[in-house]
Amino acid sequence: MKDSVLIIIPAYNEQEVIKQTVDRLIHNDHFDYIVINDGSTDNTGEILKQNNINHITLPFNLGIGGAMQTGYKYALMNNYDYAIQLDADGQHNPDDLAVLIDEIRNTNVDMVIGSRFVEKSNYKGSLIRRIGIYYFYYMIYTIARIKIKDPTSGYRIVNREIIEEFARSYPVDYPEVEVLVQLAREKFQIKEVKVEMNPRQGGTSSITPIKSIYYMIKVTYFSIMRSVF
Amino acid sequence: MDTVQLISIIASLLFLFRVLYSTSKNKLQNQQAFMWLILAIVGLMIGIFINFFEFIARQLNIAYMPTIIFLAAFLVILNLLVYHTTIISSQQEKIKDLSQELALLRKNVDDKKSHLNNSGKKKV
Repeated sequence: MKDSVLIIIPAYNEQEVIKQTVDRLIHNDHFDYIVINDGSTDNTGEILKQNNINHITLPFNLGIGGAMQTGYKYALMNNYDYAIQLDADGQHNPDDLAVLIDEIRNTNVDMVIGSRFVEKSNYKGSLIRRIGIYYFYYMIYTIARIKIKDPTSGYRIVNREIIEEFARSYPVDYPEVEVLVQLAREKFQIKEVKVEMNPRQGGTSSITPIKSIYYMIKVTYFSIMRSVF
Repeated sequence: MDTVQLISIIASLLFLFRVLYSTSKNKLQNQQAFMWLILAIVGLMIGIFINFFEFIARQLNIAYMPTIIFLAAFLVILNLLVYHTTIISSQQEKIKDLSQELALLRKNVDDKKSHLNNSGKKKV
């Protein structure tokens, strides 16, 4: 019997794209998925209900970290072996799901990150994002001694041990990088595979320049504090 | 007893009364109520034994005595703020866990309901 895989799709105000994203997913393969409606204030909730899309609705907005953790808790409750984060805005290509799944099954690492080594030029705010990625690459290497080329990528698959870990504790905001440092320090094995990423198809990026700076400082602060104490 | 001391004592007594009143109305509970009670009593003590602080100020070569009290009060309040922020953080964490639990349970109930409905339809 094959190991079971759950695809977790966090969605906050994604009424334009959520149906399309789920449709692409179902057409591609017969993966189990769960949409986490993170207290959306638009029609995301109605769209999920009307189209019989498997979903959990949070009573209010918890932020990406709280939403993803809900997904990991659901994965744990339902005994999935692997969980994948797939963004609702269409940036993550469902065609790459198989790549991630095969990689984690065949290599026995604990986490595989879908990595875009080359940034798309039409990516909004790509300069600050690139600076951020570059910065995080060195920060993670300095603190945790692992090389992650695309540390802010949310497209990632984790195994059962990490699902348990995440169900216990997961950062509330900007979880991607913080989690890598945490996992590396606990000696989990992390690997990257190349995937294609599309520009977002709807909604707006949650990362503004000021938030990016806060993101970098916050993650650095927490990562260093947790390594020291 | 000079005016400053009198005002300090009256202010401390009013504060103590406020703390006791809030506690009796269950607006302050448990350790919080106890903590404020102690702080109110300490405030009152400072008002009563204000001369003692004059003595300490002279020993420490501090020209203006109230500076000591302000410094002490400032440090106490600063630590109280940090303490309260840790309480807020832990409550945030608990609220997050509760809302996740609620959402997961609601999902569970909805799944069971639709399962029941479906099996009901099949029988008919």
